[in-house]
Amino acid sequence: MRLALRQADIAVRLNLSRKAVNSALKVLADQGLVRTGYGQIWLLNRIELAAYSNPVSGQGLAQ
Amino acid sequence: MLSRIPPDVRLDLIAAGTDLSFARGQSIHQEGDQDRSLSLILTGRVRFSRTDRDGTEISASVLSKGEVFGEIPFLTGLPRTHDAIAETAVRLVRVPYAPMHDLISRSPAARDWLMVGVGHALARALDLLDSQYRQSASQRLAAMLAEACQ
Repeated sequence: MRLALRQADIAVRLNLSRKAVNSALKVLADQGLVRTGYGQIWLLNRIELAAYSNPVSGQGLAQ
Repeated sequence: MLSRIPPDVRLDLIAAGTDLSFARGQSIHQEGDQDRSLSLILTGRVRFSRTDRDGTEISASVLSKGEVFGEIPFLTGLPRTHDAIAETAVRLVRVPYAPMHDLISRSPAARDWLMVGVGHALARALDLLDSQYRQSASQRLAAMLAEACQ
């Protein structure tokens, strides 16, 4: 699946710098989960992507 | 960001405020400004950002028509937390502290909207803080992408 997403838009949504978004995309690309192109991201394995995102269990801050 | 404003409260805000226009790229306010006014966006988009110590600009959010900003300075008296820039041509209504205070004193609907909106914003902020505490940037990005393709 292909998403038309600019790194600047991702940065806004995740409250990250563009540099941090770029690094994070590289991590996911190195894992074989995504491929990136100009203004576009191809999701190569949605199930693995969701699994990668699962937070470690622990006590949340919100009450 | 507060939830969508009820129509009657919107009319009260417009009646109590001043209609202002900003050109694309123009500053609306700067981080650190002492200004307790509340603003309702009538047209256009406003980008909120702050600058890191190394000079990197970090965008926090973009608000558009019908959305309101300035609730934290209004309620707390704290200075502006971000720079606000007109991303497009913007028209907004700016309601100074005194008339806004009068409005929420006499209008239960306005008071409820503000309190519920701030409560929800606080819940979202705690969720964001929680995810930042527990997840790396790449995990958060993976979560966002996985959600986007559902």
